[in-house]
Amino acid sequence: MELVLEHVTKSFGGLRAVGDVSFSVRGKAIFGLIGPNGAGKTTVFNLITGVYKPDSGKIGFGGADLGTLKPAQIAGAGIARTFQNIRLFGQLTVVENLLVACELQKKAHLAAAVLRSPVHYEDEQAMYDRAIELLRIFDLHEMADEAPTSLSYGNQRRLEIARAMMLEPSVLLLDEPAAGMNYGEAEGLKTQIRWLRDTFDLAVVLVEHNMQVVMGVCEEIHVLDHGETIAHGTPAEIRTHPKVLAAYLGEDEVESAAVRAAVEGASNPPPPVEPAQSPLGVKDAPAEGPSKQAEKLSASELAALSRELTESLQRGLSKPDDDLDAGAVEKESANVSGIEVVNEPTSPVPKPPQSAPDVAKLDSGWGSESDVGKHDEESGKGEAAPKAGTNGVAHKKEGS
Amino acid sequence: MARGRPGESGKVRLSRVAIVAGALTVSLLLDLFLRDLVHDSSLRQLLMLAACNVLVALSLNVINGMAGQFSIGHAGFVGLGGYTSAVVASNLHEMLGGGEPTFARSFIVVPISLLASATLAGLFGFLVGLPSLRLRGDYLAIVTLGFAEIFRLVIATAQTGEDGSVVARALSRLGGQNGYMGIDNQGIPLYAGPFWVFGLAFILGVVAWRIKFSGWGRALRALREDEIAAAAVGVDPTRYKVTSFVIAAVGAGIAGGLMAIMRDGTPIVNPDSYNFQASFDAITMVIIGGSGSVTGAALGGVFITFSIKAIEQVQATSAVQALRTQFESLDLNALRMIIYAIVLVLLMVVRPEGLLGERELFQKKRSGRGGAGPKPKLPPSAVPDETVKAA
Repeated sequence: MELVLEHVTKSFGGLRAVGDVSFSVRGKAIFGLIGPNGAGKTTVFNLITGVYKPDSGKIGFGGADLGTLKPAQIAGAGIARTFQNIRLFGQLTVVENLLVACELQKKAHLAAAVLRSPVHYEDEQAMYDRAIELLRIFDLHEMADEAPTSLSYGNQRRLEIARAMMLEPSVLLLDEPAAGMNYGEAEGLKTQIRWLRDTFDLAVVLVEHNMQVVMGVCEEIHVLDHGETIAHGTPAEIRTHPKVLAAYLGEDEVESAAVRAAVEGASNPPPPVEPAQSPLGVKDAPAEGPSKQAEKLSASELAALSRELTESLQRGLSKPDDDLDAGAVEKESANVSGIEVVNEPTSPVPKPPQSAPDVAKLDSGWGSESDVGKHDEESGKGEAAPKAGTNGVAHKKEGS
Repeated sequence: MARGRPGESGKVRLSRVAIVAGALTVSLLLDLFLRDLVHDSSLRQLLMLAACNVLVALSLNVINGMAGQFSIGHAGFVGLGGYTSAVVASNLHEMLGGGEPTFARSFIVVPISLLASATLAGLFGFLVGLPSLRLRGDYLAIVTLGFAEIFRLVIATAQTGEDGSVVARALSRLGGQNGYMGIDNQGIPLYAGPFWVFGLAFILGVVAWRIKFSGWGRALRALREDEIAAAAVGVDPTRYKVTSFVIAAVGAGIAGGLMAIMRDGTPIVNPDSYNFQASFDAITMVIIGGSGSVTGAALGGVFITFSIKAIEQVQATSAVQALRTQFESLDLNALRMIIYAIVLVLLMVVRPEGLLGERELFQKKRSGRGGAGPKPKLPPSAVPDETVKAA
């Protein structure tokens, strides 16, 4: 199934939130949608999922025109999403949150439920089994009968993904899944996204500010600014794209960055550009290695800072999932996280061989959220301590 | 959540049949012997009124509790059902030849009257439910209140007499402000005995319970929590909200229909019984019992009915009567609203979710189901970690 956007435009009053955006997501791609705050990324998600209808242009999905369908029908067609600010059903239990997503697949409807016909029991049992199975996969099955509000932040995010997976989607839209995650959790998220794609055989579209995640996991990236497409390509192409740098940092900064890049490029030969279709594991290492080593602390600290800003803004806004509302105020945080973009290309230090085991350890330790406690004992304690600070509460819960 | 297992379904069904049969037998016996058991006809009336009010509370609970909408015009649907069944029952009674309403004949009159009530109320529930898609909170409340008041005033202000259009003439036969008293003011035939009232209260209570604990009820509660998220997982807000309104209106129509033709009740339906105070009583029932709780709504219905009676009893005591000679405007029935208001304020402070919250009496404890079973699969991050290490 292919998700195709053709010249999609959406305006709110005089504001052109999305202007003439076209892209397509094929098969099992991991597709990144990035841009500064207010660029229209979440609006694109809302257009795809039918929350808004496009003013012009066409959104096609496997032959169906999504522009004519309701959100619930789009969900039924195989497009599932998560939300930037977690939207769980607070008064329902964890497993009920998943069962709600079965409504479309059910054979037994209200009359059958009232009469308690055999179909109703078969349906409920099958759905319940599937929900528990999914909760197991996401390691949430022990909390099946708890209230989702009692879950840690990371578990709530995973529950949202599990709920979306209940729809058996062929495209999964993730809206800032790394929001509020620290460096290690974001690393784990990257592996989880790839695992989801491979296991459930679906395409993933990612809206994300965390460049560590976007550059690490996406195979194709589409960059928006002020609703317009400014770039499209592989992570390597996007990293050095002048328009992208300009959008994130402003023209002046880009010039100086270009100068810095030129200077450093002269002293250090740039790393080989990885082929677009190479296996992910291979592609990952050279792309991240350098920046991790050179900028590890500062980059993650900045990320934490921008996260805090974003979160405090989210709390204060009535409709925080709408990029547009948040756009103006969030500019500051955009620049903070944006620095990471330029940091990666401007520090092409070849990966020192002795650092390789460290990276691997870090990945394995933090990758699995469930054994964070173990990880704290053996490795990464030094790394973990300063970063865990911003997200300490959620983190402790997961460990225990 | 009741979850039947295929192997047990035969046994489960048998016990269910036994329960239903038992309940109907009890209702039947009550129908025959309630007169002997309870000699005071006003107490009999109160018991049956309680059952009808339970139905009112159960139906309002679908909108206000489960769907999270706020309707303050439920009396409109109750009144619509009441007038419909009063008219239908009166005409049927006339067609059957008049006389005393017999138990045998009630099997013709009651089902048809209630069916008409439910259909008409459901139709109006659909119409009132449509704006609920665009409106929420206070605005929807105003729409529902508007509907109830329009209904009441249309009937109360109808001119008596035989001139005017067809609609005006039809309305004028409903008696206007004085209320409808059957054909030629003979009184409405009171066919619905305890068998019908208690039997239907039981059956519709079971239906309400099953609705709540079905996938549909779950989806409705999800919709109440977060409409956008619910739509994103395939719950169509339009369909679910309108359906919830229709179900609630059908329930209210049946309750109103029963009240109008209830044995030991008054043989008259009056527009003033369906005013805002009646809607407010219904809301109080749901909120006191706990919004979203089926058993809570039932408890609330019983409690409010009996508290009305209790206040009337206090009113009749000599002490209060003595006071009334001094203060003519003293009316404890009007004070009831103040008492409810105080109870509600206290409840909101001490226990905002109502007596039961969204929980139920007799609800099975669910436990350990999530933890049992085969060993869990690896969490998603663990598998790809291997590849990262290998690379």
